[in-house]
Amino acid sequence: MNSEESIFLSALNLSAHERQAYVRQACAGDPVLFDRIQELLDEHDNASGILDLAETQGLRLTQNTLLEGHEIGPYRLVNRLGEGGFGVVFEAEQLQPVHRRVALKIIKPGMDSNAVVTRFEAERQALAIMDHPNIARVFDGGAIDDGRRPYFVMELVNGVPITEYCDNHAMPIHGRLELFITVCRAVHHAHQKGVIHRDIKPNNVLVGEQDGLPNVKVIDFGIAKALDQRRTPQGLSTVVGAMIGTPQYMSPEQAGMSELDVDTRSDVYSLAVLFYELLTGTTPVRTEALKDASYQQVQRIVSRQVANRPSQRLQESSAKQMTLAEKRNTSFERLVKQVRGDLDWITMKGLEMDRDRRYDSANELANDLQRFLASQPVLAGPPSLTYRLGKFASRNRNRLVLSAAVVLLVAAVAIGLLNNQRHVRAARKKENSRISRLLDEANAALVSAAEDMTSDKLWTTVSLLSSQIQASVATGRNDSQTAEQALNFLDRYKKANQDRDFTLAMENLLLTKSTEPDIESWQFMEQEFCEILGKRGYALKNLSFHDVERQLKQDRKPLKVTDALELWLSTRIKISDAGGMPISQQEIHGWTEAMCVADPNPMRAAIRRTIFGTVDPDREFLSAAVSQDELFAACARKLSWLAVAYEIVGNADQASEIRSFALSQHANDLVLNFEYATLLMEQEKADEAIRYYMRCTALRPNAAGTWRSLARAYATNGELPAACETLNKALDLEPESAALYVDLAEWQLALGRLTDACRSAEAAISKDPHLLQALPIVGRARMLQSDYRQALVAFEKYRGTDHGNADDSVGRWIKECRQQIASSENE
Amino acid sequence: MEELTKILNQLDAGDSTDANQLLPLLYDELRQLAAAKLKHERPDHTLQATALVHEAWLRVGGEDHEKKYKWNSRGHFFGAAAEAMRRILIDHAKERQAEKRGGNHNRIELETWNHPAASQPEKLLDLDEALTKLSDLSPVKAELVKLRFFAGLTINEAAQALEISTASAERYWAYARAWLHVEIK
Repeated sequence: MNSEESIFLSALNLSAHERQAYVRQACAGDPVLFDRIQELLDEHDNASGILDLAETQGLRLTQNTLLEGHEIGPYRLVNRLGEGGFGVVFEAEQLQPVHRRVALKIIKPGMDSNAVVTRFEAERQALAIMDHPNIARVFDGGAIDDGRRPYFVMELVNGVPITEYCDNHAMPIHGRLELFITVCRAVHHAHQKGVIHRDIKPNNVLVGEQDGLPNVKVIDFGIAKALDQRRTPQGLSTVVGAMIGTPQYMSPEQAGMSELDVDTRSDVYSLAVLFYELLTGTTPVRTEALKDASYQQVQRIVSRQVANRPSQRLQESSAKQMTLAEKRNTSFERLVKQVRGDLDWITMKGLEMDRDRRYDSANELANDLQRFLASQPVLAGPPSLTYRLGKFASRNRNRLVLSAAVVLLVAAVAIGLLNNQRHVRAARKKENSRISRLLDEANAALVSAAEDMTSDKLWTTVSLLSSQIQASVATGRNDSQTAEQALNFLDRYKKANQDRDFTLAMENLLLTKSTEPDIESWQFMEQEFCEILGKRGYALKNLSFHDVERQLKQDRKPLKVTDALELWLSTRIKISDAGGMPISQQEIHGWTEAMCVADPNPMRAAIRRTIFGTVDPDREFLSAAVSQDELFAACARKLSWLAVAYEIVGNADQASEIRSFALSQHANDLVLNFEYATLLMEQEKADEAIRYYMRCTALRPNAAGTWRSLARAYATNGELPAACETLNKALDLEPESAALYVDLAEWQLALGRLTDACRSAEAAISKDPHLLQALPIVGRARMLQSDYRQALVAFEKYRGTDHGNADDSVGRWIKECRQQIASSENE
Repeated sequence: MEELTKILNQLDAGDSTDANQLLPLLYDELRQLAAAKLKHERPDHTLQATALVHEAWLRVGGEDHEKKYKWNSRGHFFGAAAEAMRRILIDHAKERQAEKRGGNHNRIELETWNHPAASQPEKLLDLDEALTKLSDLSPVKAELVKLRFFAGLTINEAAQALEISTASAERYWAYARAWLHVEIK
């Protein structure tokens, strides 16, 4: 034994702090040896080397061969049913206390079986009270081989995985839905008893037949938890095949490290994956994508990759379209049609990365599917429903306020009838305590509403509370202290409301105009910014940046105003770049510095200076500033600007990293989603953009701009029917917008809906006679309808304009129309 | 299979059979076993490469394999199997490195075999190189690692196959493991 080996081995026998001293002494005078031993010890303590792979696996499956006829406790093995990553399953005969057939699942060795058994015992109570016809019961658990191999005894289920069953029976979508709803209800039952499955996948959802009807059984409840891979000494298992949870079906939070964080919504996610597979024949994260992946890669894929909508995935599976449709007893076109829309939304809601955005329970998922089956509107959207909900809230806002006022009026009248001073005093006391309670509540509500300026729900609450307080103040029956508090609140409410209007106005402007590339739009936007800022007391036309800087210092929300100023300055620069009113470098510099004085936060200042080009683009400079600030504390807008700043300094990776981070932190931020979607469109990823625009429409259903962008993304992605449908939502909101009609007309033309296209194009022209792009659409549609005279009228009118003159094809069309007219006259 | 059994019997009887003959036989046997498995099992079923080695052992030995063979031939068997598995995996890793993509049949087969290291060809090749070095320093430690890593033996089984005490095997393993991990870091 050489000394290196012996020192190393002796050190292993010592406790961590004894080790250090021992190694130092043993290697006295030999620093090279000392380092070497340290290195070896470090590697010894690190359990993630390649050799550790062999140990985490329960490799010796067949080592202690279990054979038919063997007895395990009161069970006799009868028939080997199968084998999986976890171990083997046998059909077994139970002799005592009742004679029955059961399934016996014997887990492979290599896990801490004491812990498995302990955890199983802990769960047993809960498992025992689960009583559902679609849940396979778990009867018993124990361990064999001197406690080295845990086993579970379960109800014997004759069936095949649900996906296989449906395919074998060429089950149509509706039938699949019905089966799947049963699965959801069963899982929900378990959830109500406090049991989470944690490993829902086709192999654990078996379908057999009873009296000729399919009979669903969810198996293995409680097993995944008892096995609890994550707490094995080796930590996470490193190979896909060896994982207990199957990564394709695993929720992002399960793929993450914190096992404690798994809740019923993780099962909802897995259910949605299963549903996705029932619809499309593939899992959202394709199995092939995970094949070669390391655990870390798997984790990344599972927690980041956003899947295509099911209808989209169907269309991608080019080779198997026929088979897919056949197995669903329909034609491929009908299949896509059936899935597109509601079923897409329902699936995607179940698959949300952020579990707060998923269905709260398996039952909700089932209910939504039930609604779909009953042709009722579903919860998940299409976003139109969120829109309707939004409408509902705004309808009810007034009604709520009104009914509150009525109650107060009645109370006031009642109180007025009481002359007795004593009663008045009592009433005042009562009113006082009522109003204090109200004030507490209102203050709390205002605080959370101020955090989220654009949340209709929060603001409805606040406005309801404040109107009650207002009414109470009007009675004059509060003591002076309470009255003062109430007035204070009302003052704060008023200011917060102004902030909210300001924020909303800005957002709306961004949504409607920021994607328009022409200078007119930028100018319009600049004016709007000026107006919005003007309402806030910043008359930009009359103020220098020095004045603004001074005024900002007095502002109660300087950040909101600098936000707006940044946007205003960007539009100014855009206009100047596009050949409009010029802005000098000095001016840009002045405004930038004014904002940096008002908001000296180093990160934000660095972003600003980078974006407005008042410093040289420099990665180091930017990174240095960023490290000083907690990114977690940064608001959504700033993160997005930071991403832009990184793009400017040429660090695209960092930029996209920041964007994903921002979206993970602020999933509900409208503008962030919108910007991201718009960026995706620029990168020609319309398909991904759709998802983020969809979020925007859900977040702000009453902004036409979001609907229009979503519609355009659909159109770019070749989904014209969806595009038209979505654009109609925008038109509901802005019926006077001629530009929207032009888009609609164009798409209708492409779809061959000629009459509609004509009608839309003519609507566009009637709304805005200057909108000449609509003319050739009318012309083309008329031509295709063989109405050459009308077509000619439209084309000739168009040719009379600058646009039309420049358009070569117009000449060709006119010629064709004339020929056609001439030949018909000759006949 | 018969050939394998014959050699094992000869080894047990102390005949002057060359244990190296086991290697090519086992190499083929393991591949055939995997192919047969793949054909009959469900497609989502993954085979554990090292479980295959044990399965091969069971097939050679039949029902009473534990009684039938002494540790002498058992040691040879697993030694050869570990070496066969090592070669299969290394060949596979080299192929994968040579052509990053491509529908080579061997490759697909091996991925389905699912040795824990099959998905990390670079690391596997590094490990193999380091193992050769270790083998120069201490052949028995290298052999121990092969038995554990490629054939999936426990410390106990590996100790028996190498005819050393379990305590020694544990010490060897600790040192070899740290040594190799430092080497390929």
